[in-house]
Amino acid sequence: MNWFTPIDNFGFLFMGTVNTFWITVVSFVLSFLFGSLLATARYYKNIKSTYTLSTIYVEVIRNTPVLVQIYLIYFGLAEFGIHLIAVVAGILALAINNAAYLSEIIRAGIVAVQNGQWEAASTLGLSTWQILYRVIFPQAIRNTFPAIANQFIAIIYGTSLLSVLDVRELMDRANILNSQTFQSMPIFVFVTLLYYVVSIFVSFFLKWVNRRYFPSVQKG
Amino acid sequence: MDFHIVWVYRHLILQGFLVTVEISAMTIVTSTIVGLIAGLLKTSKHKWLISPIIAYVEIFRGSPVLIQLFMVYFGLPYLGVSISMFNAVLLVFTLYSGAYIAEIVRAGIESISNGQREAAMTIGLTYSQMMRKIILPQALRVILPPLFGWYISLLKDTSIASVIGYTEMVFQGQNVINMTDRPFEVYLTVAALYFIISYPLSKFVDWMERRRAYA
Repeated sequence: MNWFTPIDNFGFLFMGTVNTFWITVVSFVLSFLFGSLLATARYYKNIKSTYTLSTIYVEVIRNTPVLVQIYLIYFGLAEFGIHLIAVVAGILALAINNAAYLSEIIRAGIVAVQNGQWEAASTLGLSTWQILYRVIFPQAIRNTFPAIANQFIAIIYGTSLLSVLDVRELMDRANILNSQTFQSMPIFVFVTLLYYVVSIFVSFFLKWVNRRYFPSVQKG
Repeated sequence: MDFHIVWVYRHLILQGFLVTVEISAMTIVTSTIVGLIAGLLKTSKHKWLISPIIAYVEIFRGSPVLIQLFMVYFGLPYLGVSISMFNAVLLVFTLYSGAYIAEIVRAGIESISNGQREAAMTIGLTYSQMMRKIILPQALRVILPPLFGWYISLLKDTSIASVIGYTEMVFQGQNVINMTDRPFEVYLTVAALYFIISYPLSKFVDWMERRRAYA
């Protein structure tokens, strides 16, 4: 029994952590952009076609496991001749999954913006797009920043599932190291703690971003 | 696309479906008990008592459930403790889900204003009387919607147990795929079966939340 195995191989695990991190960031950015579109579509209930489509999308994605979505995109699409590289399929699956969750958060943020903001912005002569992009969205994101930050951290945990596609992220590296050294408990305990430390750092960083870029205003 | 092949192997997928429902139901019960106890302890005043509880909740909410499964299923035998796959899955999902439920319970209890607590103490109720008769009944209205929302997440998360080889629905789906080479049809069917349980539950949660908003 060698409890130093994960520390001796820290470089190997660290590369996995780096991969986990950039996969998370790319998935988050994609899901944020797509989620914003979905949230807008879900907000404008009077435009029936986009509202119905986006609602079906959100309900279907939110009510099925992300693991099945990953398998569907990687193995399922291959049946139709669409062969994606594992990491691309994985990022796509995480983005598709989290876009649905983020859209619900952002939509709640849009709903929470006071009506006066819409009226004031349109009185200034801004177009609908300008109102959304420059007035409503920044406030919607400020209102829901903690929930969005939680979703970011949920994606970090979600990337561990990409190990089933042999994407070289942290979980996968832990598996490889385990099959090379058979020091299961030390490796998995260490990697569990590593995930914890990463998520703590990210959550501190996101709290700083929240204070720095989305300071709460005095409501009066 | 050929869904006929799924119909041929329906008994396997159905068997997996029942195992998924079974493990979800069992972990819902066990983790609610664990979460309730941990959540109550977290709101108690005994600091020395709650630090291990805080560590437990932090670690299990702060790492992916997949690595927790590996830690228990492959790690415990390494320490000389043999554990069956079913017990490993049950243990991990109980602890994992219990940590999340503990936070839901804690948030619910802390949402009840301190005046309620002080008033209960003033009229001479004991701690357990106060919790049972004053705090928990009120906290329950706050706790229930996120709790049921969490049960839905848990149901979907049990799919992750297929990675270590637990024969729930996704794993049985993979068995069918190995025999038929039809991943798209099989995974779509599996997804649809998850949807059938999850969607009505999520509508129920929406309804609970709306009702609470007007109450």
